[in-house]
Amino acid sequence: MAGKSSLLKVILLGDGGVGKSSLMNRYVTNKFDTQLFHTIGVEFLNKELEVDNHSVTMQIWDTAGQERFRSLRTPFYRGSDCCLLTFSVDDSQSFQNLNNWKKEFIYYADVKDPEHFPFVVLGNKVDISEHQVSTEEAEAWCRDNGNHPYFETSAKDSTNVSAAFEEAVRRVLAIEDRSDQLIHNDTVNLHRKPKASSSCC
Amino acid sequence: MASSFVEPKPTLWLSYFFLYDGSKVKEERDPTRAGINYFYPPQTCLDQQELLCGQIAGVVRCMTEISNSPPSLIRLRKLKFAIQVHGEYLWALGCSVDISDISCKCFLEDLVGLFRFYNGPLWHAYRVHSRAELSEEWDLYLEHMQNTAELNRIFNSLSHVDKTKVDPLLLLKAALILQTCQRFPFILAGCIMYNNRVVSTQLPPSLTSRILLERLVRTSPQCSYQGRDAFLPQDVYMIPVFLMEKEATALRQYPVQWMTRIPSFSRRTSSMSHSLSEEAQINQSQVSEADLLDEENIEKESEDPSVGTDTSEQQSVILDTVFTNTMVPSVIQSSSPVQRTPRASNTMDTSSGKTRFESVKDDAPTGVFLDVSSDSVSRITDISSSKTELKSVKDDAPSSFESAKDDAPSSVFPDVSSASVSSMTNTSSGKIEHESIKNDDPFSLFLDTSSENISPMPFDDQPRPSDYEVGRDNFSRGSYVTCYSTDDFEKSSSESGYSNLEDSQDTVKFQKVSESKEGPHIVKNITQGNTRVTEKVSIEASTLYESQSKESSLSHRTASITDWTLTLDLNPSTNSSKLVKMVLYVHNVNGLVLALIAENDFKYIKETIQDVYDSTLASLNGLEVHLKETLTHHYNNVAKSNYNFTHYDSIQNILTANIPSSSSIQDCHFLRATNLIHADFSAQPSLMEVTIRNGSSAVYGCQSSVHETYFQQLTPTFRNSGGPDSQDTAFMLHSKAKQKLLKYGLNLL
Repeated sequence: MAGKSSLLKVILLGDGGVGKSSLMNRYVTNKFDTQLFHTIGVEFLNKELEVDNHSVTMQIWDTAGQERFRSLRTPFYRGSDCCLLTFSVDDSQSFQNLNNWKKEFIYYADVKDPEHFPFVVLGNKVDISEHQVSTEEAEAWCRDNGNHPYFETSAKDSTNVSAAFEEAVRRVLAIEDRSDQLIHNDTVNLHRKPKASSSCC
Repeated sequence: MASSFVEPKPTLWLSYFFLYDGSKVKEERDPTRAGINYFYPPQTCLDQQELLCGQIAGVVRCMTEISNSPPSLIRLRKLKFAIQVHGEYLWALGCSVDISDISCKCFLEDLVGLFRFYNGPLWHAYRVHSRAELSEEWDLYLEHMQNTAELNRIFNSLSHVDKTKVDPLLLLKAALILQTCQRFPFILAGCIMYNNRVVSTQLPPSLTSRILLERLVRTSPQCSYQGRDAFLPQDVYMIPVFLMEKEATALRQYPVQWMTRIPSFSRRTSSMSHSLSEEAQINQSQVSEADLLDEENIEKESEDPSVGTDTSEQQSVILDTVFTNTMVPSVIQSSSPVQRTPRASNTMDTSSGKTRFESVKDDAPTGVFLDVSSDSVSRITDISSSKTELKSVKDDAPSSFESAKDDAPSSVFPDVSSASVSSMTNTSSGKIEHESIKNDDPFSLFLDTSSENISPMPFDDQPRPSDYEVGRDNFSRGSYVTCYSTDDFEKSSSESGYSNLEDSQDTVKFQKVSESKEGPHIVKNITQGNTRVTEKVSIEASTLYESQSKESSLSHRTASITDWTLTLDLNPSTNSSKLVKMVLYVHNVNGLVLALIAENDFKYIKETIQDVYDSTLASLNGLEVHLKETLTHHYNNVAKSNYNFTHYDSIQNILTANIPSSSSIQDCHFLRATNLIHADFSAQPSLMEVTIRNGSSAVYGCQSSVHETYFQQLTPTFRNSGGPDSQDTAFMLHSKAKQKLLKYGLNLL
């Protein structure tokens, strides 16, 4: 695995207007556009990066937050390696909706093992001074819902953005390593069998 | 003849195409072959090529000498040739007689348009590139045209993605991507295509169709531009393109007033706010035109002495020359707008070069102008139905125009318009009313867009896409404006009573209309004085007039076809107007192509290019996966119904049909009938319904100003008693069509 670039699909979910597209743009192009349209359906960008000596291509999927675009976005959940649940710290409703987003994702992405699926929680727009969601509140939610890592980010002034995405990659790699090991321990080597039979004859 | 349609061969309709350079064949000993720049089909033996080129060129020359204007169509027994002449160059496109006259001319126009779009003016292209290189280009364009589906060819329409299958939200997404691009400086408008079908476009159909070729061009070795632009982002390339001046003007005038649009041009801050945006655009245009303009001047300088000469064969050259030369002073003028008087700058026209009329204008009585312009407005909008009259008027012209202007043959044109003042007053009244109703749409549209900063979607919907409509639009504005007295209008606008964009647009249109009509008056006023000036002005006026009449007659779908074997046309060479060099930004994401037309300077600014790329890449990626998902699911399930229909939306240039690509005999009959009725419809705009029938089938067609619809019932078996019979199935086609098409969202009313 190491040394070879692998493609990781990371998906950003969260209410409309919390800044998913801005986060993606900030991370990949290092630009911030105040005039972005609502995302319709899904969009994605690729970003190559190196985390812990693994070079990976992260494919960041940005989705439409508005309910009316739901049918367009849900088919693209499948195959995600990590889900970034995003809310805006100045909008408590978007925080409360995290539960729904998580459920929607698990349902449509057809996640086999939701307990161990890597989620990362992002509280965006920390540059705004009036917070409706406190850090403690958010951290508590993350603890109670499967011990997800929590990052307070700002796409506008680039706070913590790359840290959050890199953490997502780390989570995915960690899980892959573990499953690699699991697979390694439980496998039966099929190649040995014909040899054995031939020796038998 | 019917049998030829049973097995449709893709190339059947196009027999010949050639480009002939008359300047190479001047003397008795010059071989004709020296003048043949390109000949299709290329395998034709050279003797035959010479024969055909020589004959056609001879006929065109002869007709030009007799009538002062080249023929636009020559009809032979088995072939018809659409003709275009530009100076010494002659294009001819030979079609089978099955093709309607209008389509035949259209094909040639398209071909020439394609060539000019990618290669610039002919003389320029043939100087810069070798003949072999350009022959490859012609091959490409011809191939492209022949690959067009028959139905699309009949209507000269673009292929769109199937809008019944694509989620409208995705179309919106595409439109938003285009809008995003327009926020960046230099970007004018664009188009998004998927697998060579239009998803969304902000461009008029003529431009969109040229860009549709782009995918082909990209893979050809011609694309040598790429190497130079090593700094371009992945999957992006840029090529120079050349737009007709009127196309460029239309794109630049487009009222995008984004808050975020970075003011990269020195916008003048003065009290004359109404002309602000336009002036900025003019400045902008100066920048980009500069290079081409210079080239043209250099080229034309050598021909300058011919201005005073009068041989009719040189007429169009003279026209060109004068036009180009007289351009220059006004260009200089308008690039330093601060020196202008308020009134003058208020009347400044974005299609520069006409400002000189303003000074003369004051001398003439205002009332006369009002009449002239309003009458000729209807005159011109009526042009499709009354071209014959126009011609007769034109024949009379030299006699009525007594002031010895025979040294400038083109001066007959102003006369046409002055004669029309008296002759056309009656016919105009009904039409004008119609125009002003039509006028409402784009008018309010401008209001909307300028105040709310919404852009390209309305553009798609407004009449602009069809050239015909643009023409009408211009003229209708003219007639609208002339409700004011000219003086009042100018006073009020210079006193900043009119400060809106749409008003300044009106000013522009008004100028256009009235100027061209002022030709004769100017001629009269100045004739006593400087003849040289007179000549220039009158020629310029006629050029203007030509370009206007062309605008309306270019209206492929509406221009009249007469049934003469030899159709003459006022239509001059398409080339009297200037070309503006711009750049085409093309970004291809797995078959999803974003093409943007930008000012030429765009290509020098790496940062902006990167910005455009960055702000569209994610959306394009997304749109591509969405379209791939939607469209692959829906292929190959065209359920065969018991009827055939085709519906052409002439406003949006969208064709809807239920005919599968592999056609049965029935389908071929349908296509042929459609072709025939379409030709009739375009010849006679007042025609509303046509049913044509033979022993086994009947095809119903109807048209309105916004659509053409054709319908054929396949089952139950067609009943034709031979005599008048109310049970005759043909009579029920109308209601059947209405009922069946509702399910496609097409309301025939």
